[in-house]
Amino acid sequence: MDRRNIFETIAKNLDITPTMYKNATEKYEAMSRFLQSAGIKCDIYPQGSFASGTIIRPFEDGKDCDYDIDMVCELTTEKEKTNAQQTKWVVGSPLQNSDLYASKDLKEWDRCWTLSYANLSGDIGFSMDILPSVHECREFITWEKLSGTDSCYAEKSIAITNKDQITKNYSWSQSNPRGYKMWFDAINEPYLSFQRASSRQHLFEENRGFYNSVEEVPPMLERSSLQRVIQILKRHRDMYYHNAKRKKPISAIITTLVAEIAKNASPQLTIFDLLQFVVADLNQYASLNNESHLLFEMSNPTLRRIQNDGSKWTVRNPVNHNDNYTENWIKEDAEFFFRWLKAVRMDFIDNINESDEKFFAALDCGVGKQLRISAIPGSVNFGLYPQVSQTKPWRE
Amino acid sequence: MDISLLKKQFADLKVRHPQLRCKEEKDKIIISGKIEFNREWNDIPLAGNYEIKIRVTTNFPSEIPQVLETSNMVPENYSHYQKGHPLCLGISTELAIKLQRNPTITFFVETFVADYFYSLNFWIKYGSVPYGERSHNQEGVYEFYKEYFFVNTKEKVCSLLKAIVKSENIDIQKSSCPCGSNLPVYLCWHSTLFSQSFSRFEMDHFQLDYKNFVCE
Repeated sequence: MDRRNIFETIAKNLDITPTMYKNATEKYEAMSRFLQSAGIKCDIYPQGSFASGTIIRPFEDGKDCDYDIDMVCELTTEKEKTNAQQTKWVVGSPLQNSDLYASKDLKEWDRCWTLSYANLSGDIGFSMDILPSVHECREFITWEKLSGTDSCYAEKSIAITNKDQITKNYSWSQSNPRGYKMWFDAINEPYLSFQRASSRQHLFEENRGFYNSVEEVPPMLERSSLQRVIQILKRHRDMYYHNAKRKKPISAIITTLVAEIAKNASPQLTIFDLLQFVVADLNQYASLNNESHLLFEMSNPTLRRIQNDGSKWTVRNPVNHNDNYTENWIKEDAEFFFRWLKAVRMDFIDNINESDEKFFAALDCGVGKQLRISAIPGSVNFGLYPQVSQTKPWRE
Repeated sequence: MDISLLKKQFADLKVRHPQLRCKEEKDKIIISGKIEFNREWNDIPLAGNYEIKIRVTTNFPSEIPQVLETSNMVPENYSHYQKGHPLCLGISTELAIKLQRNPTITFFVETFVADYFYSLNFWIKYGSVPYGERSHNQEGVYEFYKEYFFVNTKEKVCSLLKAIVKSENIDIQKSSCPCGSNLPVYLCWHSTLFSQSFSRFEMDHFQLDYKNFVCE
């Protein structure tokens, strides 16, 4: 067994299955038809990790949970002719009045409506977040362009609704899921095309009962080494921050940084080699945490993906230059982020040539025992670790 | 425990840690080499290996062995480490009480040394110690006794410890518990404390701790 190859299986086991993909697609297409029949002109499309093909099964409170699938419901109404509350309820009211959707545990959240779909035919269940929105107004798009956002992305901006949980007032926020997907797909395309034929063939062979021919395999299910690396890092983040009892960094930070770094890597790299490349690149930023940012910038003029001006951390949204993913980071958040990256290197890279015991323990810590065993069935007898006696260290 | 018995115990340890070797000196053995550990706490497994040197005297288990980390892999900013000094495995009395259950070198290494390295590796990875740590110096000893006696003040620790080390004539049925609960001992949580007999080895540690508390 080449240990470098197991990361693909781990990521595959975190991903949604073709059955789930079909199920989710059917559900959002049905919703689109339902809203159209209620006289609502809208476009429903996937966003977030479902759209970028980096979705993983969530790990919360120490256990694997149902998938979260995010959809945008973009109304054709002009922003000037509506308001945030109206936009939210144009979508919410027909859902609430429908026996079908009301039975799906429909809930209103600050930005979206959530529907829960129980697990069908033994598969894992999922919840679908529907984000009501309208296309962004001309003034905002112009302002974005002037701020440095590429025109082709700025044109895709949408206005989403935000309900204040205390005042219950609705306001507009900005988002750009289509622009982000466009940006991500452009970086991912060379990675996908490098192994597209074999990847589609594998998907077909693994799901022969499901597809009649290779052509039937949906392109949305193709996965590149770049997407796999993002999935693996997200899983490690979930496990690590759960163990450390800290609030985890949002997925957009990981996806954006990894994609940015991947621009400079060869699309022919294997998952492990790309993971190593990305982790090494990201770990270079760790000293931003300790030394003067001016000194860091002088000695590392090309490292600009994560910035720290001494008081504020910045990881910029590539499709909205006014949006900073790390706006709310305090010093401890940054410290922990780099500590996490170091742990990724320790678990996945440094341990690759260690003894089975050490390597499997690192994988169990990084992705979970169940995923490790499903990726390496021969390792099933490992992992019965003795418990510590909890003797607390003390210094005289 | 004579040298031959210590060497026999080392042979048991070597089965688990084949990279360890043993050198005999006048009244002690010196164990050195690499140990590998693999432990879990709260579903978080951690494994590692360190080079160590353990000094076990013929007074073992009364005398707790001293352990040095010799591969210089312990970060110097780890607060339970002082370069060149024995590892801060835990409160001596706590180690003595636990060691009483299984007074072997293997138990000592597999429990206290492995626990120490688990805590250290957890700290390196997550920036905090997993299941707590003792404050430095005498404060840490008080913390141990508060947990051990299940009380919340130093005064109660001292009263209970005094009752044990002075072998006070405690009548479980009639006497009030020295912890200050105003309950007869048999109704107090501490009834188990006064109905058990401690080994000489444990009593030595209690006496030393009491002396230090009183001196303080």
